[in-house]
Amino acid sequence: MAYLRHLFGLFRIEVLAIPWRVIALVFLIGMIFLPVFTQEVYILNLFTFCAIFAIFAASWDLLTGYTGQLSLGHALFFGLGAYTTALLNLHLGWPQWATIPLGAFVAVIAGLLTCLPALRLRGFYLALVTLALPIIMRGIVDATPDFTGGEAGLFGFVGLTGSAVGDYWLIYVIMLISLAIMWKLTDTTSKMVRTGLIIRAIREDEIAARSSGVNTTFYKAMAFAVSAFFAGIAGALYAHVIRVAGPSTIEVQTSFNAVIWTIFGGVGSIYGAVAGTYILYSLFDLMRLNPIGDQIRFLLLPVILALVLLFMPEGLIPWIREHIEEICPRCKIVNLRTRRYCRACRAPIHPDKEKKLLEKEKLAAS
Amino acid sequence: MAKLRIPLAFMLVMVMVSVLLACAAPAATTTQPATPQDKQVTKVLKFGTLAPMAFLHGKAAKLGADLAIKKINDAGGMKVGNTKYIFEHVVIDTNEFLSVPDAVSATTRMCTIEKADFIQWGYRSETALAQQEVLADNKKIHLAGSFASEEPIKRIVGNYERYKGYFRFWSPRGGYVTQYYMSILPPVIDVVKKELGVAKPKVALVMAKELFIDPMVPYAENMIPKFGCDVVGVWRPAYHADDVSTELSAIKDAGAHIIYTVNNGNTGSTLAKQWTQLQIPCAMTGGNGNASAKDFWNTSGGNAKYVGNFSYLCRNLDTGPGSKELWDGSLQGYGDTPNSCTIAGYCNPWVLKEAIERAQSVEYDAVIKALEKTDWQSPIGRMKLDSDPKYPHEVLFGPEYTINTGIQWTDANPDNWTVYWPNGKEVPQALIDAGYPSGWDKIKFPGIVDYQLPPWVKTYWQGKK
Amino acid sequence: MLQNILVNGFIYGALYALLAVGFALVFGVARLANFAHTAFYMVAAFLLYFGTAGATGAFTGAYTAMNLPVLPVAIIAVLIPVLIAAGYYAFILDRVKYYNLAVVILTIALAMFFQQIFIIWYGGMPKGVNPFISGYTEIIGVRVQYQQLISVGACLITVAIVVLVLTWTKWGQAIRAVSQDMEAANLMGIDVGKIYLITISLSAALAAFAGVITAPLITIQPFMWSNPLNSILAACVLGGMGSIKGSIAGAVVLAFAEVIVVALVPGGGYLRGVVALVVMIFVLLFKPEGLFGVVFEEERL
Repeated sequence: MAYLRHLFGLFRIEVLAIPWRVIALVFLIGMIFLPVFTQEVYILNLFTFCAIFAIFAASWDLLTGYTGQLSLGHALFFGLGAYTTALLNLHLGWPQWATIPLGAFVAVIAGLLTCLPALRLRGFYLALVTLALPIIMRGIVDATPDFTGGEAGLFGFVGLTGSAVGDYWLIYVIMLISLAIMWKLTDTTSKMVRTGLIIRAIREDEIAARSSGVNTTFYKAMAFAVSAFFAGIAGALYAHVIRVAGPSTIEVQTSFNAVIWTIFGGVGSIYGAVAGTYILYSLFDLMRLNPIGDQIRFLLLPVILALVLLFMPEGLIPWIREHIEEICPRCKIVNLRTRRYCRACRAPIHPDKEKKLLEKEKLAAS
Repeated sequence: MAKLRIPLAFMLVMVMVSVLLACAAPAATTTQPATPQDKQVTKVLKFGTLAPMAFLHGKAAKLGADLAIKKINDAGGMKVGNTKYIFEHVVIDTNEFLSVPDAVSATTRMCTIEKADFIQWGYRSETALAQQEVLADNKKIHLAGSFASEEPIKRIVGNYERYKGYFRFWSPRGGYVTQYYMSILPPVIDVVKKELGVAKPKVALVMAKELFIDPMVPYAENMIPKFGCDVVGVWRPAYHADDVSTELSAIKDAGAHIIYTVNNGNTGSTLAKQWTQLQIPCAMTGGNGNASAKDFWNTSGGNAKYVGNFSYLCRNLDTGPGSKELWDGSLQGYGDTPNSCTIAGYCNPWVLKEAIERAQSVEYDAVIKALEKTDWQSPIGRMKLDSDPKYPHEVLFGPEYTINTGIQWTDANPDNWTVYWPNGKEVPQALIDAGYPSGWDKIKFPGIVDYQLPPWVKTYWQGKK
Repeated sequence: MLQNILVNGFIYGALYALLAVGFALVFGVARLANFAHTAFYMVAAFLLYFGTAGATGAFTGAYTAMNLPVLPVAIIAVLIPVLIAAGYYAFILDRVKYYNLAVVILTIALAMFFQQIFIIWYGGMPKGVNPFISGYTEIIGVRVQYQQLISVGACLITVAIVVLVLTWTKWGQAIRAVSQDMEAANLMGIDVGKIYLITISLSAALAAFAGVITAPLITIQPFMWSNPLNSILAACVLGGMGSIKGSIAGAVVLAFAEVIVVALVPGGGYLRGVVALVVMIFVLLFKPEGLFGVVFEEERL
């Protein structure tokens, strides 16, 4: 009982006091109960796709946002996941729970192979290699239509659970687990898992990281493997939901989508990638209800991107966070920005402002 | 400035969000109020079109269905017992050429929110097959647009109960696809033999890299020698190739007399343009997707003359009731010639109307039963479903049923296409042996002329002699 | 067959070289990877079509003929992309230019923006511009359009002029100075910001000029920016990123590679784009500095 009370206390201090975490929690819990409120297949499908693409965007963020390995061809892993699960299911008749992890496994192998050039190249050069790989894979798909289905893709394999609600819940749970793993792996403050700190060090200065004794090769390979794994999971789930695994999964556009959603939501933060995907994907789908919105939505996309990159280069969500939260300068605890004193140590949160205020008060007193 | 920055950025976000929301707000749905007639109950049936509206396919499909629905409703709709039904046309843009999830979400919306009763869909194979699963989940009668995959037929054979709502009312069945493009080649071979005095003309195959074209390549390589010709090579440019001069030079080097092409992307325009510009000494015909559009004259930079093509409809040929109205309506409606999407869009509501009246019901199973017994005179000929169990829910093709024509461009106006097939001759025996319908010598149309060889072809080969 | 490969390889080589020089210039001087480079090429081609042929109303679909004379339209079609590029650089790219990812994303976003505009404006149907002079001639047994000769000639002359300008004029020397050592050039009193702007405008002008002179040879469509982009990226990597000499050599080599694949691989025309990318990956893996490139310490590990 005391333990529960302690937990609740922790919850109150760590979550309820910070508006941002409250919103995130309400959103995550609300999304679990979405099928209770609406059985509309259209809405459920919309958020199913959101969840799949959220995994995909977060996996890109892990590789590019956190580790700093600029990848413009993440669709390669997505498509490999989709094609592998489809092929195994079609030809060998294996059930989906076996083929989806295998799809992710093939994506991991591809991720490790992509890592080879990444050990030698970085920045723009790595971007070129990753951009080229899915296009080359598209050439292979076109050249082997008997095996890969060519332009029409592979079809005729089983769906995921057979019902929209089932699909939604299953994918939502998978998303939560995937995000939790990725979040833990990238958490720089964690005392148990140190990868977050290391991959961030690799992004900031790889040579410095290496000279401090970090095996950067291993950690880069790990980032590629983990990122490819989750992109592969997303691709495999996507194939089973949409019931076709076609060349659209490896198109350049698919890679860019992950980039766009993540940049909109916030690079270098898993929650930013997820929020960006949920906001942009659902908004863009809803915009199609209006004929003019339908026409101009893809015109708006580059404009939104440019505005976000110019005015909030960290992304929308970190930008909002920055403006509603403030870290206490003394005890490093997150506080609501409107507070004058830290909720834990009562130190003034805005020391500069505080000084001015004090001076004013002194003046008034004298 | 620094102080202004935050409020400015905040305002920017608000403006962005409000613009997005404004665009996301649903448009007011325009439901035509049904005019009640004496003692009759009027009900509305929703006919849905799921098509990529930024592309020609979508515009064509919408226009075809609009033309048919207007005509059906003006003529009093459909009478089922005491109830009068009229169609309402619902169009949702699928954006399928750019995004597959968009198309699937549009399909779900059409089925569950708009609740359309009948849906025409499918202009790209990959998306069409994904969409079909949604349509079958929702038990909707779904009528195919212009995608070429044969998979839906296999799906019906495999699982009739689930996929029985699928029909295709516009083209010869999938199995003939490879052959019906081929049937417009022999008249050209005859002309080349006669006018150039070649005993065994050489044929070059330019087959764009597309899925539906893949099986045509070995087929053509096998079949064309049986027409008494040599195949000198196969060239496969990408379907969106914007330059084929390398291929054309190689074709000329190979000494080909005829280019037989099948393509669907802009390769067709590129090919025609550079063929004329470089004066490649070959006659050209085949299935050229681009050349079916009026805009082909512009896209090929005015170099479309003498291009032979496959067509369902032509202004100069009365292939069935309504063919001229459909042609003119299409040109007036969106300024382009009717293509397979227009014809499918036009036929689908008519076939449904006819089936509903026969079934005296609008129930899913009853309408499917009636649709399976369709026997209707369409603009491209008599439409009757194939009784072959391997090809369920596909219309018959042949001299007595729906037919195809071979046409040739003469000037900027597609009204002036000349028709060179069917020219009252039988197709070569080799095609009939391969299962192609026979009896083409029995149908005779007025106004058929021979394929015209381009002048540079004549001068080149006569100079050679 | 051999003549065919020689002639067509040369034609493509010249066109790719013109595009690749512009890309290499910007990368070499401003360290900007301009993925929108071929978008300027597309814009110019569309503007030329718009002026010489006609316009389709965005939402109405009605067609109005313009039929303006070619020369003034061509000049405007080159000027407008230059203005767009300069404006885009001055107001947007300039602020994020040290942030690799942002530059790549923003330039791709610009290309996608134009692609969408043209999809809305003209639909997905391809368009064609009439050649300035029609007809053809035979060179060692291969038929070549006069238009191709004009385009190739214009490409060669332009590339030569660019190289001369860079070598002999004061501005050209300033540009090269900035590309060699930006800080030193700045200390010598060269206005680096201005040089960047001039380089970007020059590069856009080259791309737009390429668009205008190749428009009559090809079909114009909203996706036409992506294929040559692959080829010139590969050409620049092969020649060494940022090296003008290297980009020209890379463009010619790749053009021949593509033409050989089209001519010799049976039914392999669709592999054209893939060849360039495979070459690019191998170069990056085994000789990342390319044929003529310089090794930039901060970009290697």
